[in-house]
Amino acid sequence: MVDAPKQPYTGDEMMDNLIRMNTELMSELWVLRDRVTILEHMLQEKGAISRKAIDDFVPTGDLAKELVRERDGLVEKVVGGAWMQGFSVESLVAKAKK
Amino acid sequence: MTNASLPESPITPFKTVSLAQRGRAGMEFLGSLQSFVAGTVRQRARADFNADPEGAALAQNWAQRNEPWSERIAKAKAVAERSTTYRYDRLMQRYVAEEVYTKGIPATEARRAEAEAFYAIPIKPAGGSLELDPSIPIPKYHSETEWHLMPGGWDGYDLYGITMGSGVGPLVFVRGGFAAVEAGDDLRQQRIDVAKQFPKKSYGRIYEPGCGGFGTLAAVHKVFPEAELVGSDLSPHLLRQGHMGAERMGIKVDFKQRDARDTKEPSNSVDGVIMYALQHEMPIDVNIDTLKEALRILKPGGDLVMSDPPPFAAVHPLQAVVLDWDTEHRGEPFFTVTREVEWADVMKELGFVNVEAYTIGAQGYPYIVRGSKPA
Repeated sequence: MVDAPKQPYTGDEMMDNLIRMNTELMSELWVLRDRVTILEHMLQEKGAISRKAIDDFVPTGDLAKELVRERDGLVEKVVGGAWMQGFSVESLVAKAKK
Repeated sequence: MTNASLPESPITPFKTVSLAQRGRAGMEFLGSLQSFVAGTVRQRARADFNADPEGAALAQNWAQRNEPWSERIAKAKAVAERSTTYRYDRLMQRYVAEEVYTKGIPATEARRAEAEAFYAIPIKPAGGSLELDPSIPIPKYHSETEWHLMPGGWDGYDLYGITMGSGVGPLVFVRGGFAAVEAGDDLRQQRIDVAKQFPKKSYGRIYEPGCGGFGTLAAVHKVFPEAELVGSDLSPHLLRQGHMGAERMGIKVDFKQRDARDTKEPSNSVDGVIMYALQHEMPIDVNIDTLKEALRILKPGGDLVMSDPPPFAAVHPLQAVVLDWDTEHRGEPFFTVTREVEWADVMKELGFVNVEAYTIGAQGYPYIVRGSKPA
């Protein structure tokens, strides 16, 4: 068993944890970006769709609404987490219906 | 799967198993992170150190101070830790050191079937040998250390050869930026540059105690293709990996499981001994006995070349703190004690002649100590 470090490197255990979380998220972000880039490349190589078509595509209609909903939800979850004021079944159900 | 269909690793110079996308990209991220932290962030930490009046004073007469190294390092560490940049650098170094295994082993497991198929590929024999000796006592300092935070140590996981050869080596270490290795350093070229420190133009038989795998002997072969090569180590896993690598490359090497202090080679039987990144993995007394053994097996006039991280006296105080840090934080229990010693002096005391110590790298690494057995 490799032991955990005895002391936080920043002098604050929670700060260490936050930086580790942030770095792990950066890693996950990179894994996804790497995959999407490969996906686009392979789709273009196979003639299925071009990168230019993806760049030029403007979402409209239901797709545009879906993206707005997902984006706002992400912002609320990430930024809103710092100002969490308590929750109830009702508030969580209401959030699910958004 | 055929050998020809496999990609060539920049570290392991033969075709190997490639990791799946998640594992590969995750490891490549660690390489980028470590390179940036050890390059850009470390430079800022060094500027913080030099801007601190106490740090600047330490840097001015670092090698000549009349204090034990433990006191000098403690003072330099106190200055370094006043910098939040340095603290972030250390956290990220630790993070990468952990993650190369916490990401690397699952990434390897995802390729277990391919790895087993790879190991089953027939190899055209190159004439080398593998001699494992289970009767050799494995010293506690070796068996009880999880080197570099590697769970279970070198023999703790059956596919560490893939983890290191397909993941950590070519995707993380290839970018440099760990321990004494500077960001951007070319590890493969460094080994070749070290092999070039043998003073003669040709050698008959070269021995490497603590060879690990085949990396250094491959570099020696490149410089001295005519030399007969012998490598020894305590780890059966590393020896198997080394043997397989050498045979795949068509290079004849005899690998033997031996304690570096007792090679069982005849006296006066080798023309050269090379020790690469071995010294800091052994306690002081084991190092001294290993040098004595090297002197015994060398022919009169034979040469020893050692390459290891530089001693504390040869580097900037912040770099000394960085090297010292590995002892407690990266599974390197003997890093500090072995960096306090001037090994050139030890070699002279043991009877080596023409002893020299010098660096062949811009930041003090690789650091060379070489000498010869009296003719």
